[in-house]
Amino acid sequence: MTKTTDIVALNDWQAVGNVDEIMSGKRRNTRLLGQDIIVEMDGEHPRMFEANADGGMGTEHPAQIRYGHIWVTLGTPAKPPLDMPEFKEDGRRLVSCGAVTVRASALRIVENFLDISHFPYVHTGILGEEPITEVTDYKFEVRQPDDEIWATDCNFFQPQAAASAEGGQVSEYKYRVSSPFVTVLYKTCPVVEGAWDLVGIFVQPCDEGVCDVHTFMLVFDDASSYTDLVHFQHEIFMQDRSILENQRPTGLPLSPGHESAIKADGSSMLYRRWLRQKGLTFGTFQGDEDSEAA
Amino acid sequence: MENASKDTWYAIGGSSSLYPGDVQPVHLLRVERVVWRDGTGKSHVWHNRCIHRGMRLQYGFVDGDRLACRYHGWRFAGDGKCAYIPAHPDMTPPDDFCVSSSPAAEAAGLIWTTIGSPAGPPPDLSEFSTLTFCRSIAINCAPAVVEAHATATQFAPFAAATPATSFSSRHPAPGVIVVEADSGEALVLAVQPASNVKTHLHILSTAPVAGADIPVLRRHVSAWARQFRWRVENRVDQAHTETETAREPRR
Repeated sequence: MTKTTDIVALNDWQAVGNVDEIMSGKRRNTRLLGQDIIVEMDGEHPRMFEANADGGMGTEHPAQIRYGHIWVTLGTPAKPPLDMPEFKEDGRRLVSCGAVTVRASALRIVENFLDISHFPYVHTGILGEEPITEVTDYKFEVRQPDDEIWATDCNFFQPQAAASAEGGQVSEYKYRVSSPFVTVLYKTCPVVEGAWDLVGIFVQPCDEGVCDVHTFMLVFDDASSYTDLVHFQHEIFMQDRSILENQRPTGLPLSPGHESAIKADGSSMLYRRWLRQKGLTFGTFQGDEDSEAA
Repeated sequence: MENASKDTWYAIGGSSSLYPGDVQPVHLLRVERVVWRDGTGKSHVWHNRCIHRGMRLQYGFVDGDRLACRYHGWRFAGDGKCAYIPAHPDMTPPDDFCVSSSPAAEAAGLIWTTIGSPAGPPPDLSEFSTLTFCRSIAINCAPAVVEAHATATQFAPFAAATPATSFSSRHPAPGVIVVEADSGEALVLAVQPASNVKTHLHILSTAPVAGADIPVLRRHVSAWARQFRWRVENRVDQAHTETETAREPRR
């Protein structure tokens, strides 16, 4: 496909690479919203160009560095990327887990990130386990003025909540969706009492059904090695990917009635409603359900 | 798929190849289905899509007489109705939480299904006093090409004292080809049109064997099947000049 005409998707910031991986002089040839792009560092400054048909550099677009990643836009965003003040706190480690390609809609990827009730089945023995499968009531809302989705008071028993966890614990989660393709969770830190660890995904929608997912952790954990932390995150994400690439239809249906929902899906139903109100179409299901999925 | 029709029963595998607790994907006329056998031995053919978040049910697991979705563990009873939702253990799922199902039947050692509404039951193969399911084989060719080759094929009878000298073929039902040797022994070939470029062939033999001879028969027929696949995929029998449609895009 060619560059999308979805102005909601275009007028937003998306992470398209890790700063450390795009060292000065190196380029990342990648794709964003159906457009081939070139991302590079010019000294300390990130730059992004549309790639011409011959591979040459075309129109330049805005680029900036936040949270260890290069954020770019093909449009004119009304607001900057999300604010995460935790990145200024002492004692935290930023662990960037790299980009993982997933053949799925960015919206299905974000929705799965918000979902708790799959833990016992997809992340068995790590983030959940039968018979403790119940999802208790939690709160979810759109917070203004930032127009972000927040889900709070999400509690779930977990056999191994984090790389640093020893034994099971009831973890409390808070979820935050700051833009259609960017989401972060705040989770009970198993090491520092009263603290929250952050885990987030910056989804780079390459095409309607293909994404590069940039995952990071911002945690209090001096004991685990960098490798152990990345392995933990990758194990979880590979399990999610096996689901995400097998959901049909590929696009996320935004209208109620296409897929059945229960109370535990409150935050995902709010996410779908929020996307519909924005008028986002990239990565949504548009067709006749039976034509693709019958 | 010129010879394929929506309202036709097609074999999708041997009954003996689907054990209780098995869950397998089915591709028929470019649509996806899932076939599974419950703990009581009954087989079910459903749409390959969970009603909750669209997850392919082929990755699910059988829990007694229910199929569980791999994503959230929703349990579906044999009639397709959702019976249990682990996230809300005390909730009774509403009646409209139901996976769509397709007709399924087992006859002549095969599992049959359809994506339409056939007028009658699956093909009647009761004319054969012995019918042994031998194996299924996937062939990377259009169903029409496979059928054309099957109609013209020959085979070495398992039970004949001397090799057969002549062969005849007939279509007792759409998608079913009987190739008969003058010795009286026949191969029954059930064609499953998966897509424009993929065909599954389910192979039965009428050789009068039982007990310990069945595995020997299966090996004998398997050797024929591998050679047949090679001949079809390489167009060795040049009588057929069907043009392959372009490869379907990955979906």
